[in-house]
Amino acid sequence: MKMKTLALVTSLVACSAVNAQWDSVVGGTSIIEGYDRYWVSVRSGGTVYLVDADTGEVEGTLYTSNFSPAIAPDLKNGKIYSYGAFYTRTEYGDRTDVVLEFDASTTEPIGEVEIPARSAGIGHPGMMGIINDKFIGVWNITPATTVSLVDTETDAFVAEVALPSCSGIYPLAQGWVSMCGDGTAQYIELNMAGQETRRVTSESFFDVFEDPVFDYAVPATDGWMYMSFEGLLRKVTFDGAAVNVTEPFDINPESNGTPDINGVFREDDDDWRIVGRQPFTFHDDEAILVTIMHEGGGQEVFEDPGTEIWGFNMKTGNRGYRIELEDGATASSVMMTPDEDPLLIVSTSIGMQVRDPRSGRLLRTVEMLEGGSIQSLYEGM
Amino acid sequence: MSNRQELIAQLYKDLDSVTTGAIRFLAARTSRRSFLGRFGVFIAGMGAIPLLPMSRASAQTPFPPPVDSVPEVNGVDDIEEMGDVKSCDYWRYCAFSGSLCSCCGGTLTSCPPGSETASVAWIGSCHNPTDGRNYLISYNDCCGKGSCGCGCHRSEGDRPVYFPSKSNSILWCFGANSHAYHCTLALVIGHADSNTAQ
Repeated sequence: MKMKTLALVTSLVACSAVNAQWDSVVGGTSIIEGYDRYWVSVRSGGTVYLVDADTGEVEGTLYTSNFSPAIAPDLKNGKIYSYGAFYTRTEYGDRTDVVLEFDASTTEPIGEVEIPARSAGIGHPGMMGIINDKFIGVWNITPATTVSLVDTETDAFVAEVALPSCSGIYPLAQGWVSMCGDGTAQYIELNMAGQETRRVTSESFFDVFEDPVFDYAVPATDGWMYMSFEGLLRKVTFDGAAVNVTEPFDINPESNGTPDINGVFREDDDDWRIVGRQPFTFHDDEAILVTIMHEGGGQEVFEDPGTEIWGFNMKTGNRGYRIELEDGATASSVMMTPDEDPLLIVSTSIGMQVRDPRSGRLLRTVEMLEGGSIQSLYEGM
Repeated sequence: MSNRQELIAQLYKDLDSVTTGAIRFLAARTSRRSFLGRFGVFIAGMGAIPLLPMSRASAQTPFPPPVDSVPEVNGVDDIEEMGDVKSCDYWRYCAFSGSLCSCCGGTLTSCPPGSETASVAWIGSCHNPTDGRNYLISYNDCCGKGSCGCGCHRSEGDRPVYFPSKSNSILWCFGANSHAYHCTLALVIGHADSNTAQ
């Protein structure tokens, strides 16, 4: 009887093992269901991380190249573009430069267009842009500076536009804006065949030796915001005939020498500088400006990371808060998500921080994403 | 035979007889061993001459050293330099941003093995504290390999990429077969001030 009972139990255990449900590795590939305004990309080396900043989750990655500073999201067509340079032996051998095309849902590369082997391979999101919803522009340097244009409808390289001593591709109207070493902003207009039809230059508004502007710009509703090394913020717009540059807003106002209501004198911030790879972010509708700040040094620190984050109310022009980053962290990039209820994204040495831009309060940190340039996947910059 | 040729032949004949006579005279009066001994003493004595307490004005260091004098420099060999070329504080690196070739098998002026020197460079102006003068420094990248580490970022006078000749953010591998960045050299290519000695 005991033997029969033992055999029955053994049989039941064996049956349950046969019917057990186990994970399968077959067909388990995830896809990205959709992107919203809180999705951002963070670039680290040749990998671009696709992150939902609202949850702090990395939802996917793109593999680009070590010479790929930017992506150009085209989500209404379900695509993300980037560009890169590839060698047959990783860092030597025959070089091929291509504009890469990814499926935004599967993140798989689905196409590429060869371009002249002149792409700069350095910089930030402003080194690439989608112009007229049709052309991908890639900034080149040989060291002569040009822009390569790829037609996304025909998947073909169409033209190379000369851009002497200018950099950046910031789409505007039927072309784009670049900043130039002679202190001007330049607007280049294209027709639908990718040919240059017009070039308009602003008045010179900065001296490259006295107070140059960063070659990184951030979008405003009707133009692009440029910041100078000394902390002067200007807006560049195009009215159909002229490139206009506003009067500057100074992020380092000097004390007027009068005490406040309590008799406290406001201290100058002369020893603080705006710095970073993406040193500031601006939200037009919310009227918020956020900057990365570094204490001490001269203009040579302009690409260094900073230790504080400053937030400005752009309705009043006053600074609302200054935050010293915790645990000795430093920041190299800031960005605000577009549209309503924005999030402030800060790329730091201890991870990607998500903050409330009105208060500066830390909401979450994605520790695996240290440093790296940030872009909004919703509208690109 | 011309007179000129006769004169030359006679000259050779006279030289020959004089030399032969001198050698025979020496051979008759000295042994080989004594000659070598005396010659050795002569050579050793020559070496001792600089040790004698005589005036050697050219080797003297003026003391106290001159204050605020700027030496005339007509080439890189004339430059008085001090400091560790493997340290980011070295004077030639004032506008530097990248990896120091001197810690990866290269020098200030030559690329590490297996890398390739770019022919186009960006330019900085640096002050040499040792001689008090300012120099133009050419920062040439070495390319074709991954970055060698040994990072150094000072960037004095650095400008954004729309002003390429003063921008160290660019991959300056132009003219090389690969634009994979390895490290950067620091060559003195001229004066950044007047070469007037004071």
